[in-house]
Amino acid sequence: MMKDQSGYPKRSAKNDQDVVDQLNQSLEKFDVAISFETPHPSHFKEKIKIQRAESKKKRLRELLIFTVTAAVILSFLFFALYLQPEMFLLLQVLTVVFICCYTVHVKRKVKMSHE
Amino acid sequence: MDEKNLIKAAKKGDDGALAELFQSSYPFLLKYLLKLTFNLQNAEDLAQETYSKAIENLSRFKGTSKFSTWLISIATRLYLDQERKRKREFNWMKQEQSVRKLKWEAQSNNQVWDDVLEALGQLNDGLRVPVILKHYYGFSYEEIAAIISIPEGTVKSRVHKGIKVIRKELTPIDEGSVRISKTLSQE
Repeated sequence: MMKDQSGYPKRSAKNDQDVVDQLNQSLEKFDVAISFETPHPSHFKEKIKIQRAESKKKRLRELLIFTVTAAVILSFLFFALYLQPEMFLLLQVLTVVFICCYTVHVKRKVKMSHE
Repeated sequence: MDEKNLIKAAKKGDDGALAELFQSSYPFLLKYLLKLTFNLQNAEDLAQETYSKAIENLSRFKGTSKFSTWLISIATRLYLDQERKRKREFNWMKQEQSVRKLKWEAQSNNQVWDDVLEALGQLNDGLRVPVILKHYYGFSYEEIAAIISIPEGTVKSRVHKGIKVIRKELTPIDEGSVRISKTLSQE
């Protein structure tokens, strides 16, 4: 197993290298000491079959939800466009504002989680 | 069949080839997850979830890296997501308990559980994951940044901080007290 230690800060590098060596030794011993059973390929085959069937069901369900939601939203928009054009314009503006606010909110959240 | 051919066959829908890939990568993946979770049950559950994700996203695997490397990146993201949810539920005590349980199991089986593993277990996930990926599995800072979805500079500082914390944990108390007494005598 390759252990890449390049790009490591030079100051305190020696002490850190000692710690890294100790860490690798301990983890190698840990790897050797762990014992568990590796399942037979037939077990994985069975799991793959189940997973594929579940994914298919999930995709169909998502497609159905998407279609129904799209139909409801579109019919509402067309209804608003023909009967109340002001309402249609208001909806458009509100949607753009919502998307902008949501994007800023998500970006801030991601930034905070990284800090 | 070698790995590349197995991947090709799996992408074409050969479940046997995919099962073979999963079986050969299982020990590697489980050992990696065990180092993150310190809990065998949780590691096994995460391995199952990793395989589910791998089945879903197999068509997106380009084959530029090893199959096990790809699995590790999926597993890391799943683990970090799980921990984020756990933190929200204030389940930190469970992590503490699982470290103790694994330590007890290791010791009762005459296995190795030294100060280094103890110190590693005390590190938070934000530091432990980059340290293990960088120094034990040999990933580059760039690769780790892509796996954890954080800037490369943050990975570098976390790896450095992680090693610093472990070094501090490994420093004998006597050494620290000698340093303090020297400073006091100088004053």
